Amino acid sequence: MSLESVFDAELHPLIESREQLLSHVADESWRERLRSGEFGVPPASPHPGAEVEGRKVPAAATDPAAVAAALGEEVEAALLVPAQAMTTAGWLNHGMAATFCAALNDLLVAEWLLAEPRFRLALAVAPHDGAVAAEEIERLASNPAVAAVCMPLIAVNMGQRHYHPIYAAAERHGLPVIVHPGGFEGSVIGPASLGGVGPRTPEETFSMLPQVAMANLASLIYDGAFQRFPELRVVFAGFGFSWAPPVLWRADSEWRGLRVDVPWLTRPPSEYVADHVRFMVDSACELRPEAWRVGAMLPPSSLIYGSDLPFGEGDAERALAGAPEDMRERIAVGNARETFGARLGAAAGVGEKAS
Amino acid sequence: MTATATAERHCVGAVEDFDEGRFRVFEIAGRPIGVVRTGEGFFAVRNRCPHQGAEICAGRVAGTMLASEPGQFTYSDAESVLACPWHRWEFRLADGVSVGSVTNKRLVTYAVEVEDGEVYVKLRGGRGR
Repeated sequence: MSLESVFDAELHPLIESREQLLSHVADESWRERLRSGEFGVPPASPHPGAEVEGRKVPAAATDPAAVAAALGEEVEAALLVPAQAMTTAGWLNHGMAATFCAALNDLLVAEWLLAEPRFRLALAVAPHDGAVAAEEIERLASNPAVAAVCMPLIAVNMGQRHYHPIYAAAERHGLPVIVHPGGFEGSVIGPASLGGVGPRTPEETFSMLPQVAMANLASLIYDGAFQRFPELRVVFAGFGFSWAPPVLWRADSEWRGLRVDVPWLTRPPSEYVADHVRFMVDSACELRPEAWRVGAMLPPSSLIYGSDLPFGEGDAERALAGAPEDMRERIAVGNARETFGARLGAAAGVGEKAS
Repeated sequence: MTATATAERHCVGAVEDFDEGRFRVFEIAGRPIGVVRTGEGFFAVRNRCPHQGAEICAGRVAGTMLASEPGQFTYSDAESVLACPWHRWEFRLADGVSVGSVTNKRLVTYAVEVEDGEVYVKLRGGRGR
């Protein structure tokens, strides 16, 4: 049975040059720093050779009209997740990271959201300073086409107080928080860490990325983030999902014995995850039959489709072909509506297809 | 240790034979049953954890952490709790219910009576005291 409707929850808008960004940097001094090349536009992807102007990324990925034109009719909405902002986790200058994210958000509002009524925006925030990130959310959250917040992770786990201002702002505006790798995971200082002594090759990094999600999922649970922010939704994008069930089995088992160490958890960890956490089904997932069998072990609300364009194929029908029949519709559209629905309902043109 | 049976009750010794918080385990009608004295009174439980069958009476009798706000700990010794030495699952001595509802299984408990300085375990009479 073919999919009649799809919500693409992970489409990456790209920009090519810092010249594009200049007019969106409000502060004159920061604008000068950008102009003089003290910082610039990061590669589209952390993958080796995936420079914006390289061979792997089609030029059409930077043109909102072209991206919109390529969306299938079945796509009822596409959430823009600015991948280039994810690399700011590796920037040690907090102000620079925040300035870049704010300028990128303004550019996407001005040039992308206006280009296509089906586009929604996941506001990019730099995670280095929770208060500054919260200000950025407050600054733009009133735009009805803003449907989420997105950020990379630094070497502070997600349950810790550092992120509370971000969660409070996101929760206040009904915006789920998407976390997505930025390519610096595994660096010694700054971004989220991997186990062992750190990866030496990009292949090792990408193979081990689920470790980052595991550590942050555990932190969210055990540090009580979902008690502090009962409306908080977190979406792990770019980390896959097949690692999650065994982690949750173990978490539930450990909780039974060690409840006294986390007495604020009054339910098994897996129940909090079912209520608060989603996993993106994107090109970071190995969608082999075995993976779908594992995915079926997650709560039915857990999985959300994202095309990962321009790094993925963008064909939901093909991507979800192996999914169990009773899960496909939920992954393609139902779970996304439920997760991002608070904002989708507020936006004009939601559910309408481009005419 | 063996208990002396009279009618439905099984005498397990004098009150002063029991140190507070330390189980004594008896074989009563073929069942291993631990009896303990706490600030809340006497309690008897089957010496078998409902999780994986550990001899639970070797575990610690204490209070426990109550459900709390994240990052805060609220210890209460108002309720006597037995923690299994194997996996630290806790059960209320009074009724065998899992603390924090980590399992639906209950620790088997027996009624205890104290009369004329003697401690009696009642096998019948169900759970609780």
